[in-house]
Amino acid sequence: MSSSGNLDLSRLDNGLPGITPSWGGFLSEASSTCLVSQKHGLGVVMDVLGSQKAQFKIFWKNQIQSQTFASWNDQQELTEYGACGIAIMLVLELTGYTVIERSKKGTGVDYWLGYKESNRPFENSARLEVSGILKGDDKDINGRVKKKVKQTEPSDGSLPAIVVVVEFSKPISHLVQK
Amino acid sequence: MKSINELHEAAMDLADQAFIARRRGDIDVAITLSRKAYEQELEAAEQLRDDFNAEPSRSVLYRSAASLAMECGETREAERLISIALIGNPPYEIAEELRNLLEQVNFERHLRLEKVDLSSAEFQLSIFGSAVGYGIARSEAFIERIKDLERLIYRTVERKLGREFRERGSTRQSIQDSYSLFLAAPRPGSFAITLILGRQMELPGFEFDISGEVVDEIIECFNLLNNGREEELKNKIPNETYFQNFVGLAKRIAPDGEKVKMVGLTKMRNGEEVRVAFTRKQEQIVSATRSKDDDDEKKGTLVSVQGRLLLADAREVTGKIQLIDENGGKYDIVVPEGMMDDIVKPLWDEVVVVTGIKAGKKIRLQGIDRA
Repeated sequence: MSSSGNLDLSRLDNGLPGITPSWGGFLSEASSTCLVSQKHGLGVVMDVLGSQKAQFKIFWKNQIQSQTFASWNDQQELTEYGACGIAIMLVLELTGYTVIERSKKGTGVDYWLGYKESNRPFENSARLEVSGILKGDDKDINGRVKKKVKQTEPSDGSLPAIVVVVEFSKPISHLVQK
Repeated sequence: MKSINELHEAAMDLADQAFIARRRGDIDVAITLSRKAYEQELEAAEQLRDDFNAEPSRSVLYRSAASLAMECGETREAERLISIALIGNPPYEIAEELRNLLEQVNFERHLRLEKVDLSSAEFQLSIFGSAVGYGIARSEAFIERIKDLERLIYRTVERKLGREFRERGSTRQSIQDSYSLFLAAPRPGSFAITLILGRQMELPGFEFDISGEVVDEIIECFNLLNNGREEELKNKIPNETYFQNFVGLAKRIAPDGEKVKMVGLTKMRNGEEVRVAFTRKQEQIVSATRSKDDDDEKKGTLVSVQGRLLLADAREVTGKIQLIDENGGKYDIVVPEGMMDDIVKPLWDEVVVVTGIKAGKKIRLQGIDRA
């Protein structure tokens, strides 16, 4: 089933059950900076493929100026956090889940999805696996989707997961529910 | 007593603040906040210590606490927390992530100078990854890095002595004689070796020795690059050509992510060990070489091409090379200053992948690697 609508990144600025407003604002700035770096403006259309087919117009409120680019001098870091922002918004729009928890994973962060908080963190939750590509072709995107899905293939005692790969130049996303 | 959820939530809020402070460059604030986050997360995890059925909560909380302990430099504590998590029944993916974290902890341990005494002109290089065993390493993973490190040392000496960037030709004999790189016998652990930079004899007309200063500079620059602090690195190496050259060589020394997962440098200053665990992967360093040509970048598109490096023209300061692909297709590449001699030349006649900005028919090189 396919759907369409608007994806307003500024929604992240208000935070979510498992994300503080300051962290949400950080993610929305990263996402909008990625899009602006690829010369996209407000209302750019993103196709979503995979388990869910959809099309969204993306909007943001951040002013992306040269200082913003300067503060993101690590392109890899920018792409990773930018993809997280888009992925979380797609999860909110398409799955009904929300981010209920996050945890530290080495030097990074992982996000846990669910409907409501439980007695213990991460109970009855699915993991969000995100991968970002700033500028890539179909081969890059498909390769990244395959790799991510393989990493989260079900095995004994494995956790449910939603995989989202975001490419910013087209822009396009793949969302796969495991 | 606070609930697990309250403690975990507080820990994550503090960890967010620590991350944002670190990005702002407020390192002391970041360390204080990380420590507070660690204490809260540890308290949350400890409430589930004996509840082996509380998965994935138990293992994820311990993994999160161990990650925060690592941020605070508490490697022994991190090792203990990872072990407690693994004793339980963690889901497969979490167990794998805990093992990866344990590898990092072990590498931190190997960075330490066990029973090794280093002078100011000496430092230790350690590598760890699938190409490295206990006291053994694949030659290319090790030797190529030593060669690049030697190039980087000579460049740093020349820069510190105020010499203009040498685009071609070898290092002056007097510098080679005074700052040659000597290797001590390797040690097991990861694969660790002492590198000795120094004067082996007193040379007439060579009155001062900056070996210690060069070691300090190299380790500090690696630390900045590893932490994504390129702006501070540029302040340290204001000459654009030297900067490009440093980033290009450091990228070659950096971990590839699999065969070599970590590269460590350790020195001794005032009786204290100074360690850099270089974990930033080669592919993550490409963007750092973009500093000079923002206008070109805006006009062009980022491309990646593969072919054998068969033609090179170094008659001008900005060099040119050509790659020939397997179908005979040709790619003309413009090589920025500081890249030809140390970064491009060692790859002569090899099949390489070039990443760069394509504007018109030419590609301006950003990164070059063996295919």
